[in-house]
Amino acid sequence: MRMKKYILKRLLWIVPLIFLVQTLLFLLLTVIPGDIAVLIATPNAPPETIEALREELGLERPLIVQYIDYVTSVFRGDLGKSFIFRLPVSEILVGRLINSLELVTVGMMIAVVAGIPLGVIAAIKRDSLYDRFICTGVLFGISVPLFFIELMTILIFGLYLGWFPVSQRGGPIWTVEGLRHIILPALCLASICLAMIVRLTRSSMLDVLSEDYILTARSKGLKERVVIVTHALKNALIPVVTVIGLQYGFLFGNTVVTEVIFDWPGIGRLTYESIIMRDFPLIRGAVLCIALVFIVINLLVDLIYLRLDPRIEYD
Amino acid sequence: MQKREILDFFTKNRSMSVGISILLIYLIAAIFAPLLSPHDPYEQNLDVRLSGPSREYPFGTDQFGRCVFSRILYGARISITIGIAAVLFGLIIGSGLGIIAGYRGGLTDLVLMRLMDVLMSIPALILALAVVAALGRSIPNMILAIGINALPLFARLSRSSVLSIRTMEYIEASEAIGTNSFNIIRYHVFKNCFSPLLIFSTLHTASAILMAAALSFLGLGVPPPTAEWGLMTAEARVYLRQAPYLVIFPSMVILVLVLGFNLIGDRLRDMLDPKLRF
Amino acid sequence: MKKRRETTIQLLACSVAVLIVVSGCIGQEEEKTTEPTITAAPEGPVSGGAYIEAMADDVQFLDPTRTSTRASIYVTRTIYDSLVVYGDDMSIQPSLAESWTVSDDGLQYVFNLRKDAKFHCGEPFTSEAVKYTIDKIMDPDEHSPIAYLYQEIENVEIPDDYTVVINMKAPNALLLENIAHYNFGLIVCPKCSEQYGEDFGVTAACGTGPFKFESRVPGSKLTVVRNEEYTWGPSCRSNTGPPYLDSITWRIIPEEATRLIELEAGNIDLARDISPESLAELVEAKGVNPLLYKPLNNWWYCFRIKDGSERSPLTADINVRKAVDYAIDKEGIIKSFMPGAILADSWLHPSVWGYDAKIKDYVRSYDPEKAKEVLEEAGWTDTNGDGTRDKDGRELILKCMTLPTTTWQNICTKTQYDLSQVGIGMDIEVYDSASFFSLATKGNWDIYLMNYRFSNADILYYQFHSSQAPAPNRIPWEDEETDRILAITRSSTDSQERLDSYFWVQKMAVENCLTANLFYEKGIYGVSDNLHIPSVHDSEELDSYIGIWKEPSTSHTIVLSACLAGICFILGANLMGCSVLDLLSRFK
Repeated sequence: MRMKKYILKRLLWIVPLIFLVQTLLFLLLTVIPGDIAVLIATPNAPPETIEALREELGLERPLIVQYIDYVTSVFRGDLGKSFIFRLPVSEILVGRLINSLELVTVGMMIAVVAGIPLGVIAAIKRDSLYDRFICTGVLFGISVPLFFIELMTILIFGLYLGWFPVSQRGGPIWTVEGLRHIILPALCLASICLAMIVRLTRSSMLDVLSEDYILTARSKGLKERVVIVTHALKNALIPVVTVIGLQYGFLFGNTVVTEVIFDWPGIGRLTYESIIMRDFPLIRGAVLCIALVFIVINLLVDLIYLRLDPRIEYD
Repeated sequence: MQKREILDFFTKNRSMSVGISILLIYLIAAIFAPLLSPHDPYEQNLDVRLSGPSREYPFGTDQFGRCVFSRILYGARISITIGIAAVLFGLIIGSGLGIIAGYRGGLTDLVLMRLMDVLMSIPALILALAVVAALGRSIPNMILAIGINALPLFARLSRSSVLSIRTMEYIEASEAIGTNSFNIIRYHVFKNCFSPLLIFSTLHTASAILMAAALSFLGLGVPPPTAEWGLMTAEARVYLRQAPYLVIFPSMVILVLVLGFNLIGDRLRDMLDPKLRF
Repeated sequence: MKKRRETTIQLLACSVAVLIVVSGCIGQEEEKTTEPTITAAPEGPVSGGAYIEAMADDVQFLDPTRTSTRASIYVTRTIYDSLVVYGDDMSIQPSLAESWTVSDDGLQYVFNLRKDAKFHCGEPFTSEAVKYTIDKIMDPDEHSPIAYLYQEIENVEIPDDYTVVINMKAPNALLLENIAHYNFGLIVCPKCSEQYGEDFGVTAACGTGPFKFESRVPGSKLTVVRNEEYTWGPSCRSNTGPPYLDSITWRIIPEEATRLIELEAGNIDLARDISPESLAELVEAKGVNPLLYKPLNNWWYCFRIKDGSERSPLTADINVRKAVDYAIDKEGIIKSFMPGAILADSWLHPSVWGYDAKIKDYVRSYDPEKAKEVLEEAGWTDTNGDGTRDKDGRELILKCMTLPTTTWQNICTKTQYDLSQVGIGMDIEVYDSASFFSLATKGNWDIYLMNYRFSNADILYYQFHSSQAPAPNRIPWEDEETDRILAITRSSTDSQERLDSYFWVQKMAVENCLTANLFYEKGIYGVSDNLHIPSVHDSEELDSYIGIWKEPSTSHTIVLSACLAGICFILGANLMGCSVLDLLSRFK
């Protein structure tokens, strides 16, 4: 019962949260200098043309009118039309969002698939050469600037070895082309959250391995493999699942650089470019969309955590 | 902790001492940049542009024939300033807001913490991009843009600490006799939160430096010709094939500095607060 | 015993790495199979092949009446045709108009149209389409960004289906050039334009051009396919029939490094927007070559001479302007950042009608000593010893605006250094283009870097006529004599008088040092070796893409082993995913 109430409370909070996010965005965008009319009309068009365009785009209305219009239309589900593409914002966003989620999901998959075993190995062989090697790798992994890994990846895999294409999406993930295009950006993205997953798996595994019940299980004469997999790992994974969720949200917010360098048609690059272009409806729509995904992921993470660890109290 | 223990804490532990020495080297580089650098970082010499590392130019020269090594030394000043200032901004304002929210409770608490929720619901890099685009490209604006992202973290931390202290008997007693308990709370909050705040600050400085570099890389950082590592990498990526060292050296320097902060932060966490996971 | 169990876990981790490498080999195997089978280059043009081009900026509209950005121009010129085009020698040549006459007073133009042209939707091309297009551009409600080019037109009459008469309010000697230029005179299909309304140019496009609009993913790519019925290409082009290419795809790749690597990897055929810094790389790289052309692209520093805001520009002082002009090492910039560019001595490209070599006598060349001299004489001296000159308590530190592009920033950084050598300070402020131009119009700066493409001498009118302030005359230069002379350049029908007037204006601009002209850019395309481009037009038209053809490549893109490796990877990833899920489910 309390659980349901808590979920309901969290869900209801999303609505005012979105409203506040919009307000914050609107305030930021009013300070931003320059407008898109100049770009559409080309820099050397006379001021009258630019004025007329501003009028057409609705930029000449008083701020408060623009604000009310914008907020009400968002709650009606209408994100407006992009200034630059002249297409409905929602139409542009859907495809971009799916592309980004695809990239982040594949990246996360690689990180999880590689990260958990690495973490387990490091924990089991604590203080061995393996452990040292993995831990150092992890430290470098969280310290390296993402754009550096990406530029080097492009240089090595794209150019010197020529194995993979380095730009754009090749198609659906289940086709060969799609797979070849996604592998490099996903690997780069994976590298930053891989470190977090390895490190957490390791530390949580170490905690669990020192628990009494592991000792009991071992003394019962169970095979080491059974002890590790069924007794230790399943308990050690509880915090890891949470961190995977959090990292998913983190990655989703950090795709901008990756998407710019690998020319991935995702929502991060779209946001960056629309900020540069001052395409207000598109900026608002994209940030709103990212914020929503972010909020939902965080909510899910909390819920999963609650479910996995009944000791946590509802706030 | 005894004096001896503190000393051991810094010297006997390898990762801590490596971290500290990395930081020291960077600080020395930043402070004594004018003495250490072989050339003026802004001195152009087009005759030797894009030449690889040599005795004259240890890290080679960039597209203007400027000495990359000297620029990296001067860049330490900017990157360290941005990293630390952004975190200090988040720390001071964030924990201030957290204490106020926890102490006042009620509506103030609700409003402040909901505002923090808003900040948290926009990914850090996107928020920073928007802030820099709105306010203009300069170092103070970058500090602000990165610092804003640290606000919610510190606010939540100090707020929860205030809430736990408020229920203590001596605070209730002092409130009962009508003294202003704000100062007491402030004192205890800082005493209680010292270690998590220290850990978070150190780790956050690492990510602040990375984010500053990413912002500059995306063209929304400091204006040229500033010797800033992210900007140096961004400018050099056109020459990625001709002169990959132009990308490699500044990135490596970022990597090592961030590594230093992470080493210290990790170690501090292990020592002071083993329960913390992140 | 213990070892073996651990190896399973290790295997799990290693297999990921192995699979990644395996799937990587897909690409390699493809290359291996294709290389030996490439046949000798065919002699003449061959039809077929999907052509892929990469550029930095996305297209706005495909409706030529509503846009005028560079990327949009490239695309619209393939979908639409105009009445006349530029020939290779910059003369006006027939296209949709077979012939034309201009009345002696310059007030009436009569065009005779081709009778065989058809729109993509099947509608025949008639004079009505011309009238519709020009009316649409001139309609104030349409806010067409190119309306200013047509402001002297009174009306358009269509006596019959294949004759168009344009009546002018005042003569404009440049009307034909404007029509030939960029997307300014492209004719849209009236039926489709009406039918789609606001969506015309967004989700649909219809013209008479050699290619038909196929599909578009905003911000990512745009495809046009061959118009099989096309037989009405301009006679001055190397191909007048249907284009050789099956399709053209523009891919938007904002990162230059990525663009170049994709070109070299053979994933694209031509890369636009290559900065001169990459020229050396292109020359070295295998399988690709740089294609140099001379766009009519002049770079200059614009000076602000008066300001409405409280800060009076330092460059209001002509001596400061002259000193800056002397102090900038233009040759140095060209050598390092613009290889192949030519030093500019005027606003006009030497190949543009109106250019006069006499202007060379008036141009200031690089001379830092002279710059110092000029400043000393004008009273700018370094009184406080900080390395920057000052006068009446005001430091000589210029505010310079620029765009966040590598080339722009490099030029400004180099200039900043040059100016510092003569004691002039310069702060560089970087703005996105959306804010750059509106801030530049507002003022509160001393100097900004600018480059502009214009294929005729009318650019002088836009830059120096007082009616063009505050933009594009951002200097702002307001002088009655200049206005009078500039009016002659447009209205006179005597070409010698117009030439003289153009020269007068150029001389005036140099004497008053309104701008510091830098150079004419050398444009660079990165082109793959199997692509044949007959000519690149000075106004960057790539021969309208009609004449471009691609050597057929015999590559078999899908190799059996590639498929197998792909399937292996998916299976492997799934297996591992499942095992993790299995582990997770067990602790429920």
